[in-house]
Amino acid sequence: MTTANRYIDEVMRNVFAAAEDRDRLQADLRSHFAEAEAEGRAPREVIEGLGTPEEVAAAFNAEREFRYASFWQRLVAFVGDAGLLMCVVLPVLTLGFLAGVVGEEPSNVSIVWLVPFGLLFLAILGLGIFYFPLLEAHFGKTFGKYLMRLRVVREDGSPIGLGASFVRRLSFYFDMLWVDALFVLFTDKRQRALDIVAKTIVVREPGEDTPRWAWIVCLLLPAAAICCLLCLFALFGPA
Amino acid sequence: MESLERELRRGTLELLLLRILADEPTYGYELLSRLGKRSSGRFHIKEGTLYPVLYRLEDAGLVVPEWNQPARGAARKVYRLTAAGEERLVELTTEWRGFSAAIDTILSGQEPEEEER
Repeated sequence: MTTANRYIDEVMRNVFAAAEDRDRLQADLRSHFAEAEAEGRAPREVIEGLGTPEEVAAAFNAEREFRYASFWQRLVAFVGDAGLLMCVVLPVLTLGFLAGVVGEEPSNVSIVWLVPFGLLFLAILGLGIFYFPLLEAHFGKTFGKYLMRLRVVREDGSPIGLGASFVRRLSFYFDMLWVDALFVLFTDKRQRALDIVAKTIVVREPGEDTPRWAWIVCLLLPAAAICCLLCLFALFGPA
Repeated sequence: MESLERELRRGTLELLLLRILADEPTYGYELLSRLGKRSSGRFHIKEGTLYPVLYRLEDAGLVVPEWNQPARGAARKVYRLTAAGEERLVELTTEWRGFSAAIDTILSGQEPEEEER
């Protein structure tokens, strides 16, 4: 059954639906293989008849109606992500400032501080570049989108890859995100301009609604970061 | 002409699945391979893409899945036509007959007979 299981897993990976709909398809595919096997057909032959996992998933996804994420849901999810990143970045910058690394000529900074903070700053740069695309390619969502119950998928509902996730992030890298984001207000599928280029959509998780607390948590995260910063100043800052 | 065939197939799939289920409750696998056989291969489309159509029928209350416990082995899911499904089948059959008769008339190049209005 391993060939069959691998095939079914691959179908399910590409399927975008609520749990009960997923279970239904999975159960049917399992018994499809079992019945074919009872008739003496080899798994490979059965797969030939079923079609590729992508074909099966696409036919299934085509029956779903996507609930596109609204501009506000996406904005608040982004605020949540930005807040989370600030919670990491601001304390590091603060400590760097207090240690006399930030805002100093590198030649004036003691080597003891320069190396660890240099590495930390590199890590922050990496976080800024890779946080969104890696999470979206791997999980289909960032932390903010997870809280808001949103997911990035291809226009046919299948999961996005690294290529698409980097393409749809280009406006962020070049500081054009706000212009890009305004497209969400005017496009049919609620897409940013780069969503259209990358052929991606942001949808609400099937069968789930954004919890009310998620809006609050996302909006509070940047405030939490600023609190962190103030606390650090209060604790270690110049008297 | 391939695209016409595809469009026709898509439009008539529900009707054909309902018709095959009208004979007897059927396993998913059996249902799909019967469709392939009875159409002499013309409906031999990827079976995996037919499950979503079956679900559409199920969600519309035209078919219901039932679990069948065979003498040996695991329980198997059988699809059965409901009363609403039978009604829909009659409706769709009438619709199809009328439609295909009209197409035949047009293709034959003759005027429709007066008595048929």
